[in-house]
Amino acid sequence: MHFIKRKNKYTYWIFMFGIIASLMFVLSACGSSSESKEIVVTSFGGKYDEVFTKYVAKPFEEKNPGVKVKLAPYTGIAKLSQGGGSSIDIVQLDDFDIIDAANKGLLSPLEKKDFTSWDKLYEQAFLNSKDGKVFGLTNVFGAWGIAYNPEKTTKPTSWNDLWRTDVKGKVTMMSQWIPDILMTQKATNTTMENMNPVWEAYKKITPSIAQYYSSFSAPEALFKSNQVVMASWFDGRALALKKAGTPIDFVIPKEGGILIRSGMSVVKNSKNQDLAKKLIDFAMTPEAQQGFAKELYYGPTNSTVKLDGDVADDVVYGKDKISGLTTPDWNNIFTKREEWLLKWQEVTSR
Amino acid sequence: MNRMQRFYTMLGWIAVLYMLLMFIYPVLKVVITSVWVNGQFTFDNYKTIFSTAIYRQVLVKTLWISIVSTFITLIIGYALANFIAKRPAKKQGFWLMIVIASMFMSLTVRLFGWMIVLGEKGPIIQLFRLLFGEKQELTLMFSSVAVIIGIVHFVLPFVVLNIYTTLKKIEPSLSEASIMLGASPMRTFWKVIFPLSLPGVYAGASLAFSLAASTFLVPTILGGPKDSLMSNLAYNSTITVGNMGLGSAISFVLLIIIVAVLMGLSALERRGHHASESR
Repeated sequence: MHFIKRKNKYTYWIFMFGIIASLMFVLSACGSSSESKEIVVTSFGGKYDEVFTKYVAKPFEEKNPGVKVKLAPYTGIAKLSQGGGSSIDIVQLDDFDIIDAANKGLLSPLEKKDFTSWDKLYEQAFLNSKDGKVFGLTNVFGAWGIAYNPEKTTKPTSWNDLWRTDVKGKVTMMSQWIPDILMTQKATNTTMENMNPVWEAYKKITPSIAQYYSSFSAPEALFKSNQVVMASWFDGRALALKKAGTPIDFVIPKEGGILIRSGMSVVKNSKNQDLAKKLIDFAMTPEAQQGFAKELYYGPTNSTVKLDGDVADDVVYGKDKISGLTTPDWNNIFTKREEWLLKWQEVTSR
Repeated sequence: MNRMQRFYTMLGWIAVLYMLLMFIYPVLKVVITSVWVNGQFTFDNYKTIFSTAIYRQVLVKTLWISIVSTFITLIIGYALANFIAKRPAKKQGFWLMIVIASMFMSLTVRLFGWMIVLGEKGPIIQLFRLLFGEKQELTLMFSSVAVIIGIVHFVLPFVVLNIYTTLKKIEPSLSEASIMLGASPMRTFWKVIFPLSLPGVYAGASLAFSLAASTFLVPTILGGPKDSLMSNLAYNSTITVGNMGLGSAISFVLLIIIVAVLMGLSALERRGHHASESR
């Protein structure tokens, strides 16, 4: 490069700039010029990603040559509504987030004609916007109940057992979590119209709570390190922990539990609408859903899925178990949601 | 030389532009989000913050926890920095490395480490039981104490680096002179070394306070229900509740408070400067 050095410095800089610019151009071209079609799916991370890859992404790629399924990090509703869904085709979210996103016009409506498994799904599997249109399909069910350590405490039978004195300071509940609020509503025998007993109950229970956790995975570490002996949690994670050798059991208390639904939806601005629907349809097949039941203890949403043995007993499986749990009426709850969550924050941080 | 200067001025302006775009603009956006609700200008979000008891309580708690952890960090940080600055020049790099090493790991992982250390089966509680008997109850996790320990751990390296650099700049001949003129090592430290190192202490304090007051992760992992700080409330309001306006208002109030404290600290620092110059 000494020929440049002999000339003036500007030539040198222009030369360097040219090199950098062309390098960047080549790099960016590499990224975009893929021949195959790519479909981007947000996921929850951890073991869920592994199972999703094994039972949905890989088999789908094999059946559809030239298609690549790419997992993207969890993208919540706050990010989606700020335009964070521009590179995403399918979002996987909790039922309420999908319904909320649908009401905000961020998702594409889904129709029966595009899905082979539509008629086989339980009615609870459909996630409807406030005007009754389907915007998401649930691929796995879970149950919201109480997990406890049977070596350290007796089996809870009611949601009111969370504030038994013998477990004081050893309980964890989820932070700003509507299912917990709904169950407290049931435990205190009240309705949406009169929430005061719920807030009084939260004031009473807070001294017993070690921590209000904010991610589904948090109780795992808390149970393993014996920081808590009881938690409001959902079956899948608790059972997985049990099978891994931690002393833990899961119960649905006498007042009942909540049906947890994890759904899939097509982002409105996705350029691969048809392919995205095809992938969602694929996630509803018995093969895929059996995988989730076997490895993650999540219940199938397709009524034709056959499970046997322990798995069938453990997970949310079959019409009776599903309808035995409360399915929250999210569109109705949304009108109160903000008020409730802010009130929750107020009564629990005191 | 002239051309060089122009080049650096240009670089400076680029940095200013970057600041305007990447810092001032987002902050303005936050302010606008907090006062522009549903197409209307309103101070409702701020009214909510100042009229609801819980926000005031959390605000006080945030300030309290930040101040306490800043003080503790300053004491530990000063001792460490002083220790390192006194090592043989060759070994100092090694000691600094040890202090900074913790920062190479994600804070989340480190806080989970603290969870084990402070937990039921952790060494601290085990030792306590050994000394005072099984019946004595001591819980560290899910308390303000755990949060303060976490914050101190998180901000300590920043403080050590700041104080260390100022200590290094102090001429060794000054303390030699002081001792030769008959001052005890203690007196030399308090009358000579410490005043000269104050700029580093203030800089470290500013950094420690702003990091402590805005921490979100530490209370989430180590704190209990009563240990939510302002950033947690801002996060909850924005992400969980979906009320961007309120979340922005909380963030902005926190920002104003941090800026106010920093201005106070820099006023102190300037006074310190004048004092040392006039002497």
